[in-house]
Amino acid sequence: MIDSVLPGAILILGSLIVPLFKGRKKNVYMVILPAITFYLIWKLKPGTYLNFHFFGLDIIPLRVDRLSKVFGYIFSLNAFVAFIYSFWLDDDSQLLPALLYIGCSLGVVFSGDLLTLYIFWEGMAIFSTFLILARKTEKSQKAAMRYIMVHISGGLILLAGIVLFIFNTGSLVFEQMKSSDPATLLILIGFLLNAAAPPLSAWLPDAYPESTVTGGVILSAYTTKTAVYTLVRGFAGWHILVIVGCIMTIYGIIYALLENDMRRILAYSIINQVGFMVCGVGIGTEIAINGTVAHAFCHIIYKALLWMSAGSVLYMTGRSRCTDLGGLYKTMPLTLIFGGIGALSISAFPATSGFTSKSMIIEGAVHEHMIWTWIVLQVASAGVFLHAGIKFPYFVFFAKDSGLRPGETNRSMLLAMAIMSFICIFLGVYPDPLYNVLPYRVGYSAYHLEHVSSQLQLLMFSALVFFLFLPLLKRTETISIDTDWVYRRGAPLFYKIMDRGLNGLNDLCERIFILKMVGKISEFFAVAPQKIAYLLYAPFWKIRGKDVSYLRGDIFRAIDKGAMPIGLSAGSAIVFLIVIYLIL
Amino acid sequence: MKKEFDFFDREENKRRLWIFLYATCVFTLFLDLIFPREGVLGFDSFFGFYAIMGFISCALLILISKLLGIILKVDEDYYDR
Repeated sequence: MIDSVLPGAILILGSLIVPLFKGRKKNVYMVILPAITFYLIWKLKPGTYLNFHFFGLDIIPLRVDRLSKVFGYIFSLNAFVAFIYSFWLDDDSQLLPALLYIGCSLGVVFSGDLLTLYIFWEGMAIFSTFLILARKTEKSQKAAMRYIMVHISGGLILLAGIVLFIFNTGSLVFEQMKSSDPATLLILIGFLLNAAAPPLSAWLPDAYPESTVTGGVILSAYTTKTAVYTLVRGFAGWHILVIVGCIMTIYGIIYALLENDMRRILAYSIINQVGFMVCGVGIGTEIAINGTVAHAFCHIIYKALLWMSAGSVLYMTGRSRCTDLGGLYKTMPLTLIFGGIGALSISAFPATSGFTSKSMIIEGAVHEHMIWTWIVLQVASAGVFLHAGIKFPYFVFFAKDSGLRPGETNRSMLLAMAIMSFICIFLGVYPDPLYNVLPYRVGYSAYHLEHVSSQLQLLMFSALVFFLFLPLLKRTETISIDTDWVYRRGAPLFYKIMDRGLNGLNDLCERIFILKMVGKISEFFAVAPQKIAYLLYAPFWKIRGKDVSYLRGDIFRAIDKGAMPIGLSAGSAIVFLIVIYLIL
Repeated sequence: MKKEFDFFDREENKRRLWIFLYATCVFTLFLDLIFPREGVLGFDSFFGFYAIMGFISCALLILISKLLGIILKVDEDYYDR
């Protein structure tokens, strides 16, 4: 029994009784649930399938293999620590959707068919929205609205792809996609939207920074990484993903450099990091896929750690703009140290988890002699240290004295950050436990002298550039236009143009057709018989030398009263027929 | 009253940190001298390749973002107007 339980179901069903718990018991329960989930995933045997037939299609709610297991581990592990982080929180409106959201993401990872995947996929979109709504500010409500609209659109694209896929193949089983046809391309677009690939990326830096303190920590891990999972599962070796990934890495850095809000910097840095993973998927070799999965694993940990430290600062000061912050090292040294470990990890500093995972993707590019990809990834590696490794801690904890003296954050948050910091360094020094659970068995070691020295050189000179160019990096109280302009400004503009254009046309039509023409037409039909009859008879009357003005009054009166002489009616009918005959 | 921890605000310490930064950079170059690199792709084997790579790519990224910032940066209430 225990070896065929859906891991996501524990969290989803478990969430239903959350409101029954009061106070601390609730938080303890929240921490226990992911721990049980982790244990169950541990016990699941690769090769386990749970399937049944549904209208002639195979539905597979549970598929266990090495790939789904490793994502299962990190998702439940991150949930465990995130709920320690939120141990102080007594807010069902955040805790409940968080459990459901994480449960759905596990559902995606363990589903073996596209229909189950789609259902959990939509579940993720819906429940994650509550983590943004729970901030309860006007800005967050609007951001949440945009967020859900974008994800519903993406979901529809995915659904269209799935329907076409069933039509083409007659199967729902989700495996490596072989041909590139409209069905698989639509599915790919649906996945890439959740991976935040430009131009479908603006939802992420728009919505995540508006979420709650714990919401940001939870959101940063699941949506983009389930997308990475689906890409690994379905699109490994699709060369287009190398290009998409390379664009994402550079795009993330440039926008993160422009940003002022610390959580927005971290949001753009997610896009940059997911870019490395998407690139790894595109390379598609065993080492690159291992690198992608290892990087997703480590990224979730250090990114959660960074969001936790930013969350602590937000929690204590109520501010998140770099221009409002600075000099916090004086009163939040522990948060600084933990955030700093996250920052070093994301920069792939030797002895941190980023170093042992990201280098595997770059190694994958080397093996395939993809020189341009290698160069872009190296440039991006240097850039990561610039924007997330130094910029974030520097402007929040140093830079200037903002006058804020918030003091250290609460103990549960510090404990969670300490756990994450420990894992970052542990996997950096001793990555074998992670390497052992990766999808493929590949002998790889990041630690050889040449690699360490070249990485140190790259990073230290990036640091040098940061401090030499510091005047250029001065923060301004601005935001940057991203592709969300299209629906935030472009759509209202489009609406206005359509409003002016179409409603103007409507107005014109009303004036011409309704107000003027209807009157004219009804008038025409009211007097047409009289006029036609008069026009036809007047010449005959004149020939006979009678008074025409007398005739006009006569005919009009006769037709009005319906008292036309039969001969006259018959005559006009014949004339009319002749006219018609001649015309036709 | 306990004196506030202000290590990073003091001018003499800032100068020391600069020296430390330069020293570390020189040290990483020094590593290249003692342990000549074979390079993973061949062209990255010469002395100081990664130093140049890191320096140029970061400088370019900053300059590009600075230039793009002229067009892309808008006031915070841009979308609320």
